[in-house]
Amino acid sequence: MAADKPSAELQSWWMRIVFGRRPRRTLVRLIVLVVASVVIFGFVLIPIRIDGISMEPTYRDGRVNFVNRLAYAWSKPKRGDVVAIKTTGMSIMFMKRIVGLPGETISMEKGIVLVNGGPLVEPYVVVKREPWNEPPVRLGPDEYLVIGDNRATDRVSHYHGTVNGRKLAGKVLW
Amino acid sequence: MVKKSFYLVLLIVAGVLAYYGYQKFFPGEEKRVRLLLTDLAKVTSFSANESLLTRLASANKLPDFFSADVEINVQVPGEGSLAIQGRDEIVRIAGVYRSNFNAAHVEFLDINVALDAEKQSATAELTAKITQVSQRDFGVQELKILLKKINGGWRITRVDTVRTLGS
Repeated sequence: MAADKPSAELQSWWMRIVFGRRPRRTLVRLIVLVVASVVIFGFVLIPIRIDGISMEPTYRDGRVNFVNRLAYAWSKPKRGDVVAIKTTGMSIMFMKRIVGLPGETISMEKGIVLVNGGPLVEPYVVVKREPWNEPPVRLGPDEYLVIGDNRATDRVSHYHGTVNGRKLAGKVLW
Repeated sequence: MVKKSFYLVLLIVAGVLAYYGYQKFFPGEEKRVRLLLTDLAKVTSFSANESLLTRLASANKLPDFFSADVEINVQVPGEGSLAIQGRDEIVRIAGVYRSNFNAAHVEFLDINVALDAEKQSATAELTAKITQVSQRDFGVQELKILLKKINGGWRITRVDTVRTLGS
């Protein structure tokens, strides 16, 4: 009997650590936490792992980030925003920076982005730019032009171009 | 009261099992299209230590996924566009692809299937991910696949690359 007492005390101590003083309240907290996590990370802040070098040095290969799906619920995407672009779903998305907005005419001359003929200041392009040339493209009413920050690569191998607003999954959180 | 709730739970479990059993053994047309595409991804994947017999079995299975007059127009990264016509050409190209790479893993993700009203043709849009197992890099491409029901089974009649970003 005496030998059982410390074991029971130990058990209650452990029970208190795991389930708290009020197990029912702990269970409610746990359910709220699980539901909140599923809603937040399944529908609002989508976790992503960056793969590739097209957004370097701003976003390094292998880093983890989140896509804010509500970023454009009440406002339109802005120039300079880093966005995630859906494919047929969100299992794989492209991460690019918006340089052209609906209605604008965008071109590239020797690596410099021209918006309606004027050069765009891009402080995020810190590596040497390859002299890419792109003919002028007039963007449609819900069309954006997106490019990665790493312009040191060959133009053909750097995936960039126009995208419809409905393909934007959201804004990259940081 | 306890007995009643026990039977209720049992009934719900039986209902769920019956539903999944029916789905498994009598899949709907959309499910059959999805299964075909998932099987195609498996057949086109291969490992480095694959036996000659497995390789031959996969090569023999490949034509079953396509109609005789299938047309494929896809973008191959670094190679430009690739146009293939007919089942025989697919088998030949698949052989070249297998001999050029040591191992590859093909996945079809986010498959969206739309059937026509008569359920005799379907359009599937998906994201193909091809990983060369020896490298960390992978290729991604959106594909639009047209399928027709031929002799009771679904066959791919056309495959096109859909550019995620326009030019």
